[in-house]
Amino acid sequence: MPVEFKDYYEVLGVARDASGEDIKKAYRKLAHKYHPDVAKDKTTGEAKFKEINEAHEVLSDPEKRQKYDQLGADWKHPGRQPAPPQGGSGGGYEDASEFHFDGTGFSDFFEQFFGSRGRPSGGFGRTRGEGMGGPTFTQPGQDIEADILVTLDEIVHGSTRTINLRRTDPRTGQPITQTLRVKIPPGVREAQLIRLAGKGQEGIGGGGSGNLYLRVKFAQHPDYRVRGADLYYDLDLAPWEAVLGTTVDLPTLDGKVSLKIPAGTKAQQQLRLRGKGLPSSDGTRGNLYAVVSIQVPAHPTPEQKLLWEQLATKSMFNPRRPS
Amino acid sequence: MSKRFVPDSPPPRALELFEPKPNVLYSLDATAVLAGVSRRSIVIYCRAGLVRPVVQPPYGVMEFTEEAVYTLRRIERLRSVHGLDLAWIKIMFDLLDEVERLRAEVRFLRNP
Repeated sequence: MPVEFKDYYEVLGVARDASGEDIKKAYRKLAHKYHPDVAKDKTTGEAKFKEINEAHEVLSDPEKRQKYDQLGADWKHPGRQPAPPQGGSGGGYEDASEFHFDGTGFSDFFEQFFGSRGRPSGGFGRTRGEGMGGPTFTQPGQDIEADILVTLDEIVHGSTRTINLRRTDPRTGQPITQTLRVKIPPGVREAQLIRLAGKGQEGIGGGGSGNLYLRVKFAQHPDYRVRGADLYYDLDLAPWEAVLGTTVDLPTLDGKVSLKIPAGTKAQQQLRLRGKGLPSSDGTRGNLYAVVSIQVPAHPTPEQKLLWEQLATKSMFNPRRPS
Repeated sequence: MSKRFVPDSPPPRALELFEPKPNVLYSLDATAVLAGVSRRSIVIYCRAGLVRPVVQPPYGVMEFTEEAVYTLRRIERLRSVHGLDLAWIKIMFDLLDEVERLRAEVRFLRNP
């Protein structure tokens, strides 16, 4: 199946030699506009977000980015297209190309070159049965594993996804498309498996079909990082806010809350908002941590500079002296 | 009233809906059926540390998660098709787990 090359640099609108920081910034800006959890226009936003997410997934990882850059160079020579990497478990996986997915949140291009999965994995392979023939021989089909991209909103509320499974009928050689609907339960975990019984490869001689396993991948959120059921939010504070204390508005999954910043808050300090994290399947909820990051003004005016200098002479504080 | 027979129209098919049950646990027997592995093999794989039941004797009867069923299917394939022995599979699984754990950590530290 031909796979369309995707220009991830163009998707993010950055130059080919953009720094990691530029890519991060471009991603956050676009994600804020198109992320399904925050976007105003849900329909066009979703497709766009998937592209952005993929582009960021590849370009933010130096290893994947290097691989992608090499791929980009090779792509221009149609004669020597790079072979898609095969799974780590050795050869005999030609059948993998038989399967294509729509609706999992990843494009074919991404799956082929950067996806960890989307290939036959467990169950019983048909390789063993090849050539053994015989009317009594039966062989169960192989399992297929694929990733499914899930947004934070879906983790909280659950959703029903429609997935198109395209494959080649082994008997007729004709492509067939199956449409399946999959319920994403609220409180789904990262890397959780969803089993679609009997949707893997077909068995031989009446051996049952393998299973299709969808492995949940959380979509990167522009504001939060996820660890287990806990969310981490990077909270930028001005130096005086950290020293004197203040109250800030914090976006949570349940809407804005005001968070009181105590006086003398240090950088990297984690302020916990209990129960504002992701739901788990047992009904409890994780926590939201606001991780303090102290930002300094990049271009202070001469007047402000004077004030800082006054502070510097008055202050006895020395961060490098053990107190 | 007679309905006209139309041979070529495909039968109307409702979309299949898959609904995973949260936190489902399978007994040893159910696991054996779902994984297509004998109960005896499951016990052997457990002893080899390749797969772990959620509870095990003497604290209760063996129960397995969906993930464990999937792992059993993978083990069986690696053994029967690729001819790996249990020690190799153990090393492979340990390495894959470690890689996955480190990847998740790197992802967390790097983003957003």
